[in-house]
Amino acid sequence: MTISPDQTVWFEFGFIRISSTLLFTWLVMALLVLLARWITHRLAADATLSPWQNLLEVLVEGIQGQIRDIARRDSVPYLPFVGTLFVFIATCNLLAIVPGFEPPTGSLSTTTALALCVLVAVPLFGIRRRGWRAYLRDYLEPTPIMLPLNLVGELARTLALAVRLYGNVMSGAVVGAILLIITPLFFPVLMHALELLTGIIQAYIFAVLATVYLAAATAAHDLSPHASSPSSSEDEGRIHEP
Amino acid sequence: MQIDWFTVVAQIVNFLLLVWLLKRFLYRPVLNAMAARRQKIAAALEEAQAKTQQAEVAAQACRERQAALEAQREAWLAEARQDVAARREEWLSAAWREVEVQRADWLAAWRREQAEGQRALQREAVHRLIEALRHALRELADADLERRMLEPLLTRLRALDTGERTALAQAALGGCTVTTAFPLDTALQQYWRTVLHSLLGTETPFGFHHDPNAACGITLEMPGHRLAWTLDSYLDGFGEALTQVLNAQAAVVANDHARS
Repeated sequence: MTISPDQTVWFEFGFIRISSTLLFTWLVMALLVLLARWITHRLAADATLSPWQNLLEVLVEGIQGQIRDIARRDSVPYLPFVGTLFVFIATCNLLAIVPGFEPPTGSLSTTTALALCVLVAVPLFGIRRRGWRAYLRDYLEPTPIMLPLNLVGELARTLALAVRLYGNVMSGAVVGAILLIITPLFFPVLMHALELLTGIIQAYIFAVLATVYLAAATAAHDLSPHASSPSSSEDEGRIHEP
Repeated sequence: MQIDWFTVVAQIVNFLLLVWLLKRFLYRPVLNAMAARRQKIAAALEEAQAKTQQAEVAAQACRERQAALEAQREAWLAEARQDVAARREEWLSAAWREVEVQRADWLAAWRREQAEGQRALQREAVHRLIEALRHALRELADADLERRMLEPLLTRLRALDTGERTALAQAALGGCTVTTAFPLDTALQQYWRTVLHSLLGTETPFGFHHDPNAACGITLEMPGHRLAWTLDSYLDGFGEALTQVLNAQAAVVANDHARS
């Protein structure tokens, strides 16, 4: 039994190692992109919706609502990043029920990569919204003595993000494998069903924590009395071309 | 628990690529579709609101027009009711007037008929009375009664004034006939002759005539003049007087009815 999909290497050339993590990640990416492309290929702006479009809109609207509730601001700038986090992690965790599929989120490398993305995205969003000085000044608050602790805090929460997701998914897979050996009939099925629930919850927790970090990085900007809204009301709910 | 840093880097790249792909193929189309639907719904709502306002305006105009029509209808109905009431009053007054005229005519006719009947009854009564008196007097009449009847004629002759008596004397020269119902005896004829000579002149020729069919009494006839005092003439005079009295009373009653 392999604990991490990183251990299953399909191709190796020098430092390039194509493991199950990358393979199933690409599979999930392809599945998501193709599904999104297939559904959004025939989107309708009419009152009558196809069930798939309705599902997508419910998903997007739900993610937007969660971002709005947590960040208390326009959700559109955060939607691609936070939404992709949730969709990717949830898809990986849900597909764990497919026999032979090894969820990439069970790899510490994957969760570390996602946590690093959050670690980088937080200052990027903060600096983009507040500027260098205002964002970096937060690390000196309330006193410059707190700078090391603030930096450690950033790293710690990144590590916590990575380890939490990895631990939950990996433990679920390991526990399932162990139970499959001990009680091979019904109990593993129930545990897999429970894993579906915990997988969705873990995706939700990861996305919510990322949103909280992003919101905290941009919160001071919105508390300023002279701050202006980053997007007008006409732009809300619409993503423009880059 | 090992971290493969190549996998970490590759997963970072994969994740960023997935973010870009989903942004392009999922979030943007879905958000754009939702925004388009939102705008379409907003436009539809705005249009519906505008049409609702137009409908409200039209409904208000319709209500005002309906109210105006209702008011006009009420005015027409009130005018028609007034016309009907006036016409009814007019027709009723005309009918009452006509009824009153007919009633008055009928009453007048009825009163005339009543008066005529009363007069006819009175005339019949007078006639019957006169006839009864006449019959009774005929039954009682005889020569002595007739003889006593001569005196009233003589009294009437004596009551004539001079002119009348002269005219009567001139007429008597042509012949004077005394007619009685019963024959006069010689002495009575001589008495009459003496009296008449004294009243009308001595040259007057007298003749006495006896007519059994004449009424009880005496008639003095001369050319152009006739003097008589008979029971018939007396009863005729009495009947005429009685009729005049009854007619006068009937006229008074008719005038009273006409005034009422």
